Amino acid sequence: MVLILCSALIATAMAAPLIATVTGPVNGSAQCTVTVWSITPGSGTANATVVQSFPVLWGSSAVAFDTNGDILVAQRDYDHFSNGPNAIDRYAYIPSTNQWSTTSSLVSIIDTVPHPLSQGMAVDSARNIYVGENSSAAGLVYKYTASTNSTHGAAVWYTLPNTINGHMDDIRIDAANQNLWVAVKNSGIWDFNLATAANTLIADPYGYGGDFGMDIGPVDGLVYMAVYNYTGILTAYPTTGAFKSFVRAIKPDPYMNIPQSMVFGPDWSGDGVRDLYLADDTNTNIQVFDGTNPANWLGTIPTSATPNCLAYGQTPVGLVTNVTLPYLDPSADLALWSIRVDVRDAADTTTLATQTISAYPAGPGGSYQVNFPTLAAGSYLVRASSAKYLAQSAPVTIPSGGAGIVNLRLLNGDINGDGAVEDQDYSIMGIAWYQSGD
Amino acid sequence: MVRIGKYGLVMIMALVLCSMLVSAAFAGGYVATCSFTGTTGVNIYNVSGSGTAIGTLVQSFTAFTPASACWFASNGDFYEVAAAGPYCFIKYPYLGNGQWGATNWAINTQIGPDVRPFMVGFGMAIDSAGNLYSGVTDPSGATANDWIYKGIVGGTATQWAQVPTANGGTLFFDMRLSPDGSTLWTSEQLDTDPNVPFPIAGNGIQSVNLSTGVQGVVAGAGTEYRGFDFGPNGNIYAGNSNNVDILNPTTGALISHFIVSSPHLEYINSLAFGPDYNGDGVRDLYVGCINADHPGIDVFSGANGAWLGHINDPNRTWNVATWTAPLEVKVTLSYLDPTADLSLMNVRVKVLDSSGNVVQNVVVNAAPATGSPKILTVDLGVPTGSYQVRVTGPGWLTKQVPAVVGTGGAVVYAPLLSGDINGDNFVEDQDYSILGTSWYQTAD
Repeated sequence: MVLILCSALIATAMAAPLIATVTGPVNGSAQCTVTVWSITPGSGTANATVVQSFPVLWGSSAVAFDTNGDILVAQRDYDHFSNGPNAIDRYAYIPSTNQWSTTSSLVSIIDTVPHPLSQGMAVDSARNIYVGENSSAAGLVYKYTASTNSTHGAAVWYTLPNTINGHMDDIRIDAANQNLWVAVKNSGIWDFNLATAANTLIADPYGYGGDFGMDIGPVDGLVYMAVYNYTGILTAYPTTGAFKSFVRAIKPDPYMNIPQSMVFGPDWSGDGVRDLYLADDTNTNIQVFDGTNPANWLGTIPTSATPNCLAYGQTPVGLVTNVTLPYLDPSADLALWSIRVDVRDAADTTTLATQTISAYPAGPGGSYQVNFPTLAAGSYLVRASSAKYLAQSAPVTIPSGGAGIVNLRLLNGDINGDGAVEDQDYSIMGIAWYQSGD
Repeated sequence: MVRIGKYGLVMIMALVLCSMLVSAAFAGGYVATCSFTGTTGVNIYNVSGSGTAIGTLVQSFTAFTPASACWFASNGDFYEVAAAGPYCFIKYPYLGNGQWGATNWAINTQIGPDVRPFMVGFGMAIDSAGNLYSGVTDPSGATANDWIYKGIVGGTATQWAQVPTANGGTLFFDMRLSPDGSTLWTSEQLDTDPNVPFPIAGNGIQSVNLSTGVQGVVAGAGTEYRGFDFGPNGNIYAGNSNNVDILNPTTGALISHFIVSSPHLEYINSLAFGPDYNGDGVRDLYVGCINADHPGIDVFSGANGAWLGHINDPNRTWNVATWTAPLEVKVTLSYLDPTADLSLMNVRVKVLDSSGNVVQNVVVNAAPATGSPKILTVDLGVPTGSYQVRVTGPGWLTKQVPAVVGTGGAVVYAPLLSGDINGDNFVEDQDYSILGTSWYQTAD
C-alpha cells in the first residue's frame, strides 16, 4: 500500500447519477481532495467531466453521498492535527450552483482517539451513516444514528472479532435486501442485517487476501469483488459467499493491479446499465468496465492521485424537505409522532402535494427527509407539522432541471395542539408537574 | 409550578372518573360478508348505528375475488377463502384500530397444491391452534374428491376428513367449531344426480371429531340447512329458507323454531352469532341470504329472534363472519384543543399478561378519536385472562391500567396526562425549559 489517498469520485450533471472520490493521505499528514465527475454516456473512453474539485479535511479516507446530495467525508484529523479525533464531515450540496459547499460542518465525532478508518462509508434510506474503524486488532463498525438533540450521535454498532488482520475497505448497502456489506482486508466480507446487525462472514471464497473493492451488482444481486492476489474481478453468491466466476481475467491486467475500491456507478457506455468503476493503487486513474460484462474495458478517468474509495450517488431533483423535530429524549417512542409536509402554491392558498411519514426511524440529529422528486420547477410554500409541534413553513424555488431544498426545524411545546405556545400549555403542564408515567 | 390551567377541576374530575376499571359485556363488534358473485370480495362492517340501519362499512378487500368464505380468528385477524387462482386462505392481520392490513395480506395456507377445478367451500373455521378448515367439492360428482381440508398455519391444507356423500357429491356451507372446541361442524348438501350439476338436497349438519376426524352426530338430518352457528345457550341455530330452527347438538333433534317465516329472510345461506347490537347482554344473530333480490345481512335478537335491523351490504351473501373484540381500550387524549390535528398523533397500546409477556402491541392513529375530551377507542383481541394495559401517546405520560377479560369481554379506560414535551415519560424541568424556547410563538 503505497498511496493512502482519500478519493471520492462523483460524476454527474444536475439530476444525473454521481460518482465521487477523495484523495490524500489517510494518516492525516496532508490535506485531501474530493473530486466530482459527471458522465456523458456514449462510446468514448473519456466520458467524464469534472463538476467540482475541492479541498477537504486532512486524513480523509472515505466518501459517500447523503440522500439529499450532500457529500459526507470520514476523516481522522478533525482538528487538523495528527492526534485529532475521527469524525464525519458534511459538504452541503447547493442546488442553485450544482456545487458543494467547500466549508464543512461536523456531523459526528466517531472516536476521540484517531485509529485508522475504513476506506468506505455507506448511508441507508433513513440517512444513518455507517463507517468502520480499526482499533487495535478489532474492527469497529460505527453507526451514526438518530440522536434527536445532538450532533454527536455516532456509536459502535458492531464489533468485528479481533482476529481480523486488516483495515476495512468498501462498505456498501444492498437496499433491496436491507443488508450492509463490509469488506475487510485479509479477512473477507461481512454481511450484516441492517435491522438486527446479525451477520455472517463471507470468507475469502477464492483465497484472495489483501486490499480489495466490493459492491453489489444492481442487476444480478451478486457480490462483485476486485481482488489483489489474483488481480481480477470475481462474483460470489450473496447468501453463501460461494465463488461463482471470474468476470475479469486474472493478472496481468493493464487496467488494474492493487484494487482499492470498486462501485457500480453511472452508465458510461449508454446501454442503460450502470457500469463498474475501479480505483487502483498503482496508478492514478479510475478505470471503468462494462457493468454487464466487466471483461470489457470502457475508459479511464484521470485523477491527480490514487483514489481511496469510490462513492455513487446523485443530486436531487424536485423538492427536498429536511424536517427536524428537536428536543425529543433518546428514550422517546418516535412511532407516536407523525410528520406531514404540505406543498402549497406560493400564495399559500392551495395544497398541491402532501406526504405524511412516521417519525420512526429518525435520521441523524432527529432529522427527516421528505422528497417530492416529481414536483415541477416553480415557487412554492412548504409547511411541515407534527404532533404538539408548531408548524413551520418556508418558501422554496425549484429551478428547471434541478432541486429546491428547504430545511424546517419545528418548535416544540404546543401541548394542546392549538398552534400557539402560551398560557394554556403552561397550565396543562402544571397539572402533570413532576409526575411520571407508569 | 402549581398553577392549574383553565381546564381546571372539570378535567381532573373527568380523569378520576375515567380511571375506573370497567368490565362490560360488549366491546367493539364487527361483521364481515363475502360474496362469491359480487364485485367486492369481502366487506367488513362495524356494528354501530341506531334503529334498523345497522353497520358502518370500515373496509373492503378486493384483491381476491371471488371469495367463498371468511372468518375471524380470536385475536381479530381476518381470513378469507380466495376462490381466485389456486385456492388459499388469505390472512389480513388486525391492526388494532378497527382496520385490517389490506396491503400486508399473506397467503397463509394454500388449499392443496391446486385443487381447481374443484369447488372450494362456502364456509371455513379456525381452531384454537390456528389451523384452518374448509371444504372442497368435485363438481363432476366424483365423491372421492370431496373432503374437508385442514391447513396448518403457513403450510398447505391437505385432505383431512370426509363426510357422508351421495352419489353426486357434497357441497360445504357454514363451518363452525363446537363451543368446547372438540368438534367441527359443517352444513352439507348432497348432489343426488351426478349427471346434473348441483341438484342439491339438504343433509343436515355433520359433526366431526377434531382430534380423530371421525364423523359424529348429524343435526337436522335430511333438512337443507346451510347457515348455522352455536347460540349463547350452546344449541345449534340453523337456517332453512326463511326460518331459523334450534337443534340439539347432542341428539341432533329439532328443539324448537326460533324464527318462523320471517319477511326479512329469503333462502338463508349463512348465519353467525355476533356483536350484541341491542345491548341486552346476549349476542345477536346475523343472517345472510343468497337470493339476488335480498342482499345484505339481517340482524335478529339472539334472545328472542326479534328482527333488529339490516346491514345494507350490496352483495348476495355467501358467508357471514363476526368478531367481537374482547378488550376495548378507551384512551382519553386529554387537554387537546378542538383544532388539534389528531392525524399527526399516534397511540401505542401494549397488553401484557400476568407474566409480563407482551400479547398485543399496536400503534394506531388518533384521527378517529371523538368527543370532548377526545377519546380514542382501540379494539383488541386477547384470550380471557388478566392483563396490564399500557397506553401512551406523543407528549402524554404512559398510563397503565389493569384489565380482566372474561367471556363477555372488557372495557378499560386509560386517561392520559399531557405535558411530557420531550417524551421521556416525566414532566419536569426539561419540559419547562423546552416550553420556554417556544414561548408565545405561533405556528406558521
